[in-house]
Amino acid sequence: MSISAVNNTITSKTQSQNWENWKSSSVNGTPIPTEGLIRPNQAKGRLVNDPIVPSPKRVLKGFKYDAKALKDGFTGKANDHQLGKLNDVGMKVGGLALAGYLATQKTTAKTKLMEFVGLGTFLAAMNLWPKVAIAAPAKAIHGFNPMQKYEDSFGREKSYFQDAQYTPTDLYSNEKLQKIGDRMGIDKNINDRNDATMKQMKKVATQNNTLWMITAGIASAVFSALACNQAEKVIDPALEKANNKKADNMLANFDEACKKQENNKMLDSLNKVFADNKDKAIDNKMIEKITSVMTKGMDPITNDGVKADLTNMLLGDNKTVVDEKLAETIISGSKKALSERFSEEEMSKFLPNKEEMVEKFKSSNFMGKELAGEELKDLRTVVTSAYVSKAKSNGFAKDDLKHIKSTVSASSDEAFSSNSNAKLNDAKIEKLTEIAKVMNKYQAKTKVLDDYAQIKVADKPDSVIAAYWNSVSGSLIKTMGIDYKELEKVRNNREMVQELVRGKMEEITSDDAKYEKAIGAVVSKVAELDQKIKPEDTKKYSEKVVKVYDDFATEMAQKGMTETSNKLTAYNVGGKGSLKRIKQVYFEERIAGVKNSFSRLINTMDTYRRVSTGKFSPEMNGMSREIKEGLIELTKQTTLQGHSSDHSIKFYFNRNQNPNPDTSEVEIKDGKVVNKYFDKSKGVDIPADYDFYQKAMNFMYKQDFDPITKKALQASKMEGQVRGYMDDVHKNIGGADYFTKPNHKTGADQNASSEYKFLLLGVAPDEMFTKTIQQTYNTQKWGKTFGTAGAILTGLTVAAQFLFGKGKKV
Amino acid sequence: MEVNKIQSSNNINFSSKVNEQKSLKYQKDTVLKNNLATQVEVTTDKFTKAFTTYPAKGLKGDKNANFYEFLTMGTVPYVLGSAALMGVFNLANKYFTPFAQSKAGSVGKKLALGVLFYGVAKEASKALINKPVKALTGVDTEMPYAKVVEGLPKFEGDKNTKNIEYHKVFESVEFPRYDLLYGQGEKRNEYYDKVAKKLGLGENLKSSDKEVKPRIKEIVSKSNSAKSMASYLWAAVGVGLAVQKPWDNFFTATTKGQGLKKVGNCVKSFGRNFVDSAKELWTGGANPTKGQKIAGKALIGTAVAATVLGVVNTVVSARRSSKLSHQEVFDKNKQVVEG
Repeated sequence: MSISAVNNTITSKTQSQNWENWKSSSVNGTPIPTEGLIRPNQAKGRLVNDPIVPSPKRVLKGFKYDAKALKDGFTGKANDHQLGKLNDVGMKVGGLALAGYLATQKTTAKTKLMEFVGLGTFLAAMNLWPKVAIAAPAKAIHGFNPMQKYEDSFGREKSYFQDAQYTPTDLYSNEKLQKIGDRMGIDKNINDRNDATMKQMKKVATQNNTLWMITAGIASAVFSALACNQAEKVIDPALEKANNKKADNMLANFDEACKKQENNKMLDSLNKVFADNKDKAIDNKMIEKITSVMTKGMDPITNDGVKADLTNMLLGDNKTVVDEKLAETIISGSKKALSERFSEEEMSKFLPNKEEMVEKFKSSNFMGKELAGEELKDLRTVVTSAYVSKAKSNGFAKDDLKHIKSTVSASSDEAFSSNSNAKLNDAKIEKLTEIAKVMNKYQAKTKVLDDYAQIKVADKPDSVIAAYWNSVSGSLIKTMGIDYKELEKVRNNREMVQELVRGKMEEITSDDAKYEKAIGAVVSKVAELDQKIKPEDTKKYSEKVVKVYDDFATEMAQKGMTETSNKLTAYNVGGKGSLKRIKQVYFEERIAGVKNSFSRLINTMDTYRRVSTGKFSPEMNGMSREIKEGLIELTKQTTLQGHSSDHSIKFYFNRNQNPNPDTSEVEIKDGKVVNKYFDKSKGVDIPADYDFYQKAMNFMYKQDFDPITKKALQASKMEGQVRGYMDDVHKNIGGADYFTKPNHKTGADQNASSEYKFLLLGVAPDEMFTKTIQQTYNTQKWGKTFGTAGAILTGLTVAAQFLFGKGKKV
Repeated sequence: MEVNKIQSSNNINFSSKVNEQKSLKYQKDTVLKNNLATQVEVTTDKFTKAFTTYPAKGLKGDKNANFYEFLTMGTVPYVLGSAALMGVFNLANKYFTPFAQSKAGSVGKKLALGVLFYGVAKEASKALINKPVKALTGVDTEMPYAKVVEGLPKFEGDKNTKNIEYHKVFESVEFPRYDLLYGQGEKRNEYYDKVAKKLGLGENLKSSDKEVKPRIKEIVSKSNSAKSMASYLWAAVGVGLAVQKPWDNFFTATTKGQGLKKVGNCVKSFGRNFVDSAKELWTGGANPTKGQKIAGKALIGTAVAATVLGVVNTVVSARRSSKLSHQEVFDKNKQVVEG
């Protein structure tokens, strides 16, 4: 290299020293006169620090540079460095466009947001990997950063060792090079030690750059995915909190929220219909059009009510105009209806033409008149006889004549109503507009109520209740101490899950400390629902629904829309099936379903606890030990895995019909019953033994809580809820009739609906665990697979750097 | 040099065969025809070396490992990263329950297809700018050439110090290889004459090269900028295309039939679902929301707009007959320092 001689003399100097050195250079001892000569500008290059987390100032500087590069690129002035930067800008812009598009394909705020988080983590992983896994370890091992950045004289930031064959000179000070040389073990006594150090640095940097290229792809993908996974843990609660707050504000400022929802879209569309149809005859088609505009986005029940009311309102006092058009409409309508039974040829034998029909109108003295009521019936008779008499004279059978008469009669009625004298005049438009305004306001109000219900309790992944469910059920894996190996073993089999969960319950409930911790964790977690969806807010929502629907129904009735009014509230049938009731029930039952499921879980844990501690009800004293053992088994199975069908048949439970008379106490060991008699023989179900059923129900749902359970419930103000749940089950399910076991009752039948009973039992704990175990396993498996891959890659990357720079020093 | 001294001691380990000079395909820097054959040759050479020779040299810290090799190795993270992304979306699925497996599998396969389409669309879309720019200005900004580079000898008497690298004549806007475009004798300025004529500067110019060079720089700078922006937008379109519902039919088709019949089914299904997916991307599919209705159109529209704008911006200014005073390389009034 031709410049190496010069380099050797100046590499140990800083830039200013170099210039001073140059000024005083000499050739063969003779000083070179430099006065008055043009000399190059002093170089301004410098090493720059590129921290793992850049400062805002540095980020801003980068943005500014990119913006200028974009501008220069567009005007054709960009240099190579700027064009290189534009590639990065393009990647980010393209990434944003892609994330934006993918976000529109997602339905929830979280999944939309995750598209952008994915992009962010990918770019971050690309940026951080070389800094963390390459530069940092390399610096620790070799004493210098192989990814060292420098700024050239034009302010362009580049990588110092990007091209080891063309590195800038003089930017490393003598002191730095000496220090690096020491770390690298460069002989202190060799000539041009700094030169040797730099060569060794280049070698190591080349190795590291290659390592970067080999590892970056896998690392970016794996760490980006892992980061996304972790980001969800932050995003989920934050979004849930924000959504919940939004809903709370909607209810707290209901009128304001409704005003925001109001718009004139419906009224504008309606005005367009009015403009297109002004002074035209009103027919069913027009009424349907107006109805569809007024009820856009509303349910079919309300739609039917509005249509019926408008038909009555707009066509109620109309008269049918008897003219040539009516003749045409009757003939075409009846022809279409009759073609289903008769061929073209057959119809030609009885179908009158327009002239014949008009002649009939004239001969009956109806032509040119406006008819209603009885007169219309007479006209219908005239019309049908025109068809029937022709058909009769052509020999059609009685059955055919009957069909022709009824079909023509129906077609005539349709034609009568469509050939009405009712016109869409200003008075009617004004009335319709008034009704539409009321409906517009109502739609805004129901939109707010719907939005509130959607955020709080909808069956969708980002609703408050769904987030709560996932949070509680997800925490159960940890609470029950289920480890990864257990998850892996049982995840695909519900029966194995039952066995595992039962074992865990027995283990935990037989240990005071473990149980106190577990029941405390479950109860406090379950209690969070009342913070997220406050009972008083549920009440407020319900009251709002009542007020909005009642007000609307009243206003509609006042405007003559009685059918609509009835559909909204259904007061005439006790409110059943009304839209108002549906809205209330949906909200309440969604909450009830979740609350019942978790109350059942607490009840299950408490039942197991009472078994583990041997606290049975006094009515079980003196029972045959064999029956008692069976009864305990039944309660364990029922609470953990029983369905409403098991309850409705009052349990089908096989046991010995001639139990051993031994009345000794059952033996409990580590939460398990050590059966002395039960399960030793096949056994049968004993339908006559209602006492067994009642005692089992009483033990599960009527007995006092275990003291530790009670303490936990009281601490979270949950005792009332869980006790209420247990009473409901005991009363409504225990008291239900079952015809083959008529005496299996815990009280009088409450006639609760099967839907209510289904809801009351909620999700069986074993089912809850099965789903949670599958989800948890999937998440953990994925995390372990790629977490391990990431760890191995990082380990190998760091380890490889210990081998770099080995061999003979250059 | 000291290097040689060190290596000479190792010379005894090499057989005499190593010292035989290998013949190179090109003896000097040579402009290549920009056609499919060249593209295949160059891509194959670079792809193979990116995964073999260059990492081997780089990991040893070879003195001859240069910036070209480093840039060529950029393919490695791209390919491995794509494979890893596909793996992230699919590898763990087999451990899931059948239902979760089928759900995750469908998403995973589409995302894997998206990774593939991303790369294809990004590279293929560059032609959307390059071709019209070449047709309208005569400047092929992707013109390839083979460069003969001489490295340092590995040992005394090493005769195989030369290597072939594949570059582009205009890969550097600051240092384009204008020298390769000159012809011999009377045809010396043939290339520049053609470009000048295309750009509307006239014919029989005394020094067409001088007239044309500043314009070429501007064309390269503008079209490369446009490619940087548009290619990633087209890549986004590629992913957008891959996530559409019709691909589920294609994935099902890949599991049916055997042998050639299976291949035939797959090809047919791919074509059919490619078209259906393109339609769905444009329309937003069945029952789209307002956002979905316009999102696909906006994505494609942005990519088309960036491409058209890039071509127009490059071509229009290159063909205008202004003096281009701003394109002067040196401002004579200023002192110049090379950085």
